[in-house]
Amino acid sequence: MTPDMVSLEGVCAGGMLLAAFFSMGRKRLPTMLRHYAISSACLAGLIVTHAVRTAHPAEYTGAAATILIKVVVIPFAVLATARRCGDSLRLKPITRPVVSYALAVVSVAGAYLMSRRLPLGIGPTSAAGHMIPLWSLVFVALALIFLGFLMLIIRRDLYSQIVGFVTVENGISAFAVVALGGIPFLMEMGIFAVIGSGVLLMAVLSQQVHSLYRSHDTATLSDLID
Amino acid sequence: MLLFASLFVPVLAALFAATSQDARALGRSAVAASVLAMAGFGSLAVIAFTRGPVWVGELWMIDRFAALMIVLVSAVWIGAALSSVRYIGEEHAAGILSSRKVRIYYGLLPLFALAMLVAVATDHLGILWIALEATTLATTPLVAIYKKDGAIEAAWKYLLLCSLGISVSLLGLFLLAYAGVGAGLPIDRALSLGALRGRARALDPQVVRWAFVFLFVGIGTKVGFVPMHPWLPDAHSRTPSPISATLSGVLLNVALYALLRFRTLVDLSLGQSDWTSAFFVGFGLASVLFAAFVLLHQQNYKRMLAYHSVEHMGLIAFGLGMGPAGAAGAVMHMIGHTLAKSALFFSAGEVLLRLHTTKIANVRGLWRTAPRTSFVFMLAFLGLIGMPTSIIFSSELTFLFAAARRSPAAAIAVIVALAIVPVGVLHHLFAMLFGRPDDIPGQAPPAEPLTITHVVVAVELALLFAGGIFFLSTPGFEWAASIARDFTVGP
Repeated sequence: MTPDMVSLEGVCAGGMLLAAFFSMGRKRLPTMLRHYAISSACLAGLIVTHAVRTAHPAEYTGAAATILIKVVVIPFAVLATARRCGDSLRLKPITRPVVSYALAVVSVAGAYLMSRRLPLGIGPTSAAGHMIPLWSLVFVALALIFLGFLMLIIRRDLYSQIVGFVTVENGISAFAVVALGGIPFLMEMGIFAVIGSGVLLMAVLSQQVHSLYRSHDTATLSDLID
Repeated sequence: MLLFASLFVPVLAALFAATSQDARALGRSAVAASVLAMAGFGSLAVIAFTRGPVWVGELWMIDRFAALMIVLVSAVWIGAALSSVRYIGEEHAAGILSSRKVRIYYGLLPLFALAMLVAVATDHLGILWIALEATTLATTPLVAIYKKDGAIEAAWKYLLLCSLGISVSLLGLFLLAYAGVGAGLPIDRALSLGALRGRARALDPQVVRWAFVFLFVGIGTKVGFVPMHPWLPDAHSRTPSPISATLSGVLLNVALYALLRFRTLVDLSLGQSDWTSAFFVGFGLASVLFAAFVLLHQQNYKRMLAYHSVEHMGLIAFGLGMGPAGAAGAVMHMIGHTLAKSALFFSAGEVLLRLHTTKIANVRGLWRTAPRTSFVFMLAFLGLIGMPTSIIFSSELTFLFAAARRSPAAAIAVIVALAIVPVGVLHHLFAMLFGRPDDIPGQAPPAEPLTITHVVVAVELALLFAGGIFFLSTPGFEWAASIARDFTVGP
């Protein structure tokens, strides 16, 4: 692996984490979706660096699918749904931005501690010679998962919950890339299909929630509490 | 060939639903598809029961446990298709469901069944994961189909929580694959359950433990273990009753089946089952006790049935942590739960069609106005709470015998929960059946006809109570134990 590829791998991993981190305090839906798209583009970059390193051309298809679905289709579908509903694109987090960032720091720290505890180092990517330690790439993947869950907890609107869900999914995809060096092509396409369908279903449901309750606030969804 | 032909049948039924406008033809095609698929899958199940595991290529494997699940899924699918002819037909005629929604319903029902059958018949972990998520995607529009009374809220919670859970389990699956690659398997083989089992002792036990934690939490969400259960009572109570029966009766079992496949692998790798048993006992007890207390305060009979599913999944998990005898009890309980719960949801559909309410307080004097529905509803409830000779009586007895030897304190906790549940359930049941109705003078209720749903429920109840006698016998217990050996590791 050339030093350029190592740098690119580091830039992509760092870009994924930073984009997800800074979306935590954002209040406007288009900005949050832009952060998600950047994070996803970095994921595609990470897949490309692995494709170059392992000389598996099939992985380029995975990178292309990531760009198509996660950089283009999902942000576009969520934003179009919000605009069609006539919702304000300004979201209402339940925490102030500074508190959100503080919680994000705690989540990232938790991911760091967990990545050091995970007994990794026997797998294929380490054998293939990562120049960046494997645990640090796994740390980025776990941090994304933790940040996604945090967004689901501290945000009370449907759109942020969708973004939280797809952020978790980005973290899991990143884990597959860095720890396994990618997964079989058909399985990857299957996962894209079900995740993409899930997000589209969420977009349709959020539209129906809005038409029923005239709001995208999840606090309105309280008819079914025991 | 037989497997692929059987898998193709539901796809054809879904395609037919997408093109046909005739609601009656849709109902008939749904029944035909379920019977044809049962014939195909049932043949494979018979081969697995009589001759041992059936392998189709490297991706599909049907052993006795998978065969049992195939029979349960197919049987409830046939029941749901038959019941839908009446239930959906009545709601369509009453204008509750439009023709478009009827088409959506009949298009998604076979796809839902297909996803469950794929999940139980595959040996590939990737296909299993995709099939589990597909069950959520196929049923979310069915949960949301009424678009009122919390249906959209239920669908949102269902989709978000189950998809998140399944995503977390994907992380566990990748960790298992990572351990497989570390044990010398190529990545495509590291996703095969059979290949991983073959190298189980070479898998890194620490990685395997972490993988199981993610798999348990993720798939446990789909099973409905407390505290990951909040989606379950909402989703199961808001969807049309034949779908409630399928969700509650078999989908929870299918998710549990997936979890047990992973557990076997982890136990083989660790060389013991005590570590995974602790998860099952802990989450099982929490689910049983929580559901028992919530059942006391239920005001909606479909929600009450849904919470009962949480309790049953908890009981099965508890049994799975109690050694080989507990595992045999778990097999019995899975069968009993499928029969009793689907019978109850089908019957609840009859109550709903007649009274247009799911509130317990609004259902009074049902015995007088709807004697057939009342009779099967009462029998199914009694079977569900473990009245002799139902299968659930046999399984609960097995759990308690197994637990008394391994963990007497846990056995006492379960006995307390099992004593609370009938109090809550019977109190509501007798009020619904024998409470004084608010009669409107001069208006006699219309006589209750015998419907196809009554016939389906009667068959299920016959199996439920006859099966209990079979499982109390030595051959019955041995049969359940032989299936349990497919997912347990010997001491």
